[in-house]
Amino acid sequence: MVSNNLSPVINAANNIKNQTILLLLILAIVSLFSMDVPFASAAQMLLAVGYALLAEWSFFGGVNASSIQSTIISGLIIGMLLVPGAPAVVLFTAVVLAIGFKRIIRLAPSKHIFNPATTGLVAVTFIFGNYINWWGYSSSVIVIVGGSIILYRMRRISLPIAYVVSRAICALVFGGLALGVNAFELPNLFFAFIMLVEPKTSPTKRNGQYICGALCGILATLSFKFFPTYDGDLIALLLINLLGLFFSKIKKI
Amino acid sequence: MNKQKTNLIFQLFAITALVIILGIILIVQQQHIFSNPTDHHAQMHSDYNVDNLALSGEIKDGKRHIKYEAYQYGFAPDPLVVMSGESIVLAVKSRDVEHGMMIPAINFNSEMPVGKYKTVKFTAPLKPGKYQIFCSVFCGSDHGSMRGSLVVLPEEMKHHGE
Repeated sequence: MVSNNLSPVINAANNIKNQTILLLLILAIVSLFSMDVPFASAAQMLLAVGYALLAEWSFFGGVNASSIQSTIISGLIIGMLLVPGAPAVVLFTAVVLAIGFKRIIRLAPSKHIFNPATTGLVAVTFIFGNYINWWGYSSSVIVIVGGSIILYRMRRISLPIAYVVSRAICALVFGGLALGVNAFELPNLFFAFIMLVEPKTSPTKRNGQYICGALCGILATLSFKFFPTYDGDLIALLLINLLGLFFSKIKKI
Repeated sequence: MNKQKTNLIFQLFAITALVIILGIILIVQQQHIFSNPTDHHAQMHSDYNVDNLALSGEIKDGKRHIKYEAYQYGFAPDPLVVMSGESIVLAVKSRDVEHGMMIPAINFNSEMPVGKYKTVKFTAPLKPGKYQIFCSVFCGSDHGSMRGSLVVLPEEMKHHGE
């Protein structure tokens, strides 16, 4: 009887998306303690989640719990990447475009091509300028430990490893030791362990993950080198999403 | 049929809410409520003794020219002190790795190249106060907490500290 009562809670705790939401919330809460403007940052994050849910219902109607979890994750990521105090219209547009592109650019009803949060953020960078600041990261230990537990269950751990190693080598070649070391620091780790590994837009096979992770590191470094006004990681991720589509067609990879 | 009806209700509710929110955002933006001058003003007075602040840079051809540099993890000079409504010409560069400077309140953003000066221009806000400056290019572990300040002095303090 007791186990029956507890089983929904255990199921919820075991759910990978719930674990990702929990990880993001822990990171955000820890980050808020070091912020000059914690209330504005927290409000930005909550607004992003609210807009994301409304956009999801607008585009998709009444959706299932899994879609709501994904939407909350997208909203949290956008709220945590935009600079605290970014104009309200930038936040709103980023979230609505993120969910909108998920609806428009897709292979099947539940198979979108591009990482939604990244699409929204890159789109607003081109429309309004770069408001990306990555404030919502705080502890590399939380990102690595929490991220690794989730990724081990998702069988995606090769992806961030390949990315971080390739990013470090490229940054070392193009920018010297200081930038090479930065590859192992936050927010690169946040990007690698949380954004790069979105299940629907990343390769499932290990070889594909190594190739996509390494290419993402190279493209991100080149983008930062030659177009520093834009966020190289996010642009590289969109390109890799396209590549992931190609790899998903090749069964061996 | 019931499911379709529920979907439709969800969609109508959500679309209406989003349209209302967008309307509010645009109206508020139009009226500059988010950049409430009194907030910036109060922040400036709580953080600085305004009487002791010297204006940054120098005036040439009616514009304020300032050399402004970034490093891991800060900006120099900090704060950047200007008069309200002034035309500002910044010569920006980074001392170490690639940085950027972003002032969300006035929608200004520029990269700061390593080792060489780049000239950028903007007009200082009309409302006096303290405005935050952020780094807009990922520059290392403390990128997220890299901050600077733009202090805008009121018109009546012209010739202050020059």
